[in-house]
Amino acid sequence: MTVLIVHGLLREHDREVLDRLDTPVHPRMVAVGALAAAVSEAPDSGLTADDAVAHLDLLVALAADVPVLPLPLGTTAPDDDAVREEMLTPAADQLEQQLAAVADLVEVRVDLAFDTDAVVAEISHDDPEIERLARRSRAPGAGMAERMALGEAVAGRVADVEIALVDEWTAELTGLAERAVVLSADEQVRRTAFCLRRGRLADADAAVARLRQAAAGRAEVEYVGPLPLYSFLDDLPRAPEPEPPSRWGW
Amino acid sequence: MTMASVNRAPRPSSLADVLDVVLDKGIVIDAYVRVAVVGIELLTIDARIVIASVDTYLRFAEAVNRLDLQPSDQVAGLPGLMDEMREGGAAAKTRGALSGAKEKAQEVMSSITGRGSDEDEDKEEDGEERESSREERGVPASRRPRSRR
Repeated sequence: MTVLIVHGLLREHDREVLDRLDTPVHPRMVAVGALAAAVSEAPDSGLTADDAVAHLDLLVALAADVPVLPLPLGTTAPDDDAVREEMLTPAADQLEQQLAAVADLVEVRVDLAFDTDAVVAEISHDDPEIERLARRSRAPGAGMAERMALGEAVAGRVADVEIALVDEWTAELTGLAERAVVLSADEQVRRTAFCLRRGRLADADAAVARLRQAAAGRAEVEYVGPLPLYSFLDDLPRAPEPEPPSRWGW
Repeated sequence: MTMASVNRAPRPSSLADVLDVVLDKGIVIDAYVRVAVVGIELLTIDARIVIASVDTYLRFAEAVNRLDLQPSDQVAGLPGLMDEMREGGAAAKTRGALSGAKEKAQEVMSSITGRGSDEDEDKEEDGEERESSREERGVPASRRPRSRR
């Protein structure tokens, strides 16, 4: 039995964008009213990592040109009628509002992968507490407990320094963005997503070029986008919650 | 096209980051989310946090000791000596509790990486400060697949 993968939702009048796509997945449109879904047939053997990459490539290609609401990989429907009648129609008003809300917006991400050894070297000198813990970890009889205590103290200071640097380096980009959110912040990579108006993408590129210069020697910069607004979907308009039923069933 | 835009990648470069996006994020429409994904291993998030913390702390400790901030024989007079004696006592008390945590962490680490715990034990017994590159430990913590929220 054929199963459809539903990749994303878009406006029906943007349907011609599918003809211009040069992606491994060649979706077709299933539309009802002003809404459309980009769908393709699921492979018989189940989805693989390649399908995950192809799914994202498709959504990225769509988002470069038109507003798109991404669906999680593995969102399926049995046929076109199910997409129209059970997926698009019941939530049509809300989905149309959400597409209107994302019409002029895209997401870019900046990953800062710190050279933690350089940061450690920077912060460890002239820090009496680190010197004390380092001395203790090297003392005769010292073991795992002493090394962990030293490492934990250093990790705290590394985090403080890296947070301050990220704030400083991304300040210009944050100023250009409608919203920004920190997606991950471990000691190796600090990832921030920025919601941008399409027209500000060139400004963002220039800001990231300056960010790269500022971070040179201390952090590698990965700059990704434009993506669908993956990190800001919670901000989109939602249908009001249904009233709780009366205890009397009225 | 400017140089800056050339340096903007269209999507995340690592498969783990791609999976993080396409599996965890997106508009969910009730009754039509049937994730059927094969060949993608999702690790237990709790285990990865343990590994990441232990790995990080030990790596930082080694990094600081490589810096050789101060010769270990430079103890600041009697107060420093007293300090070290007190620390030695406290360390002995806490070592028992921490060794249990360490064993647990090693079990989890072994189950995930396939490496036995003997290597770490040997390292500690020998007192060697072996360089622990990230490559030895496989994919960095931030690049491993993340579980759903």
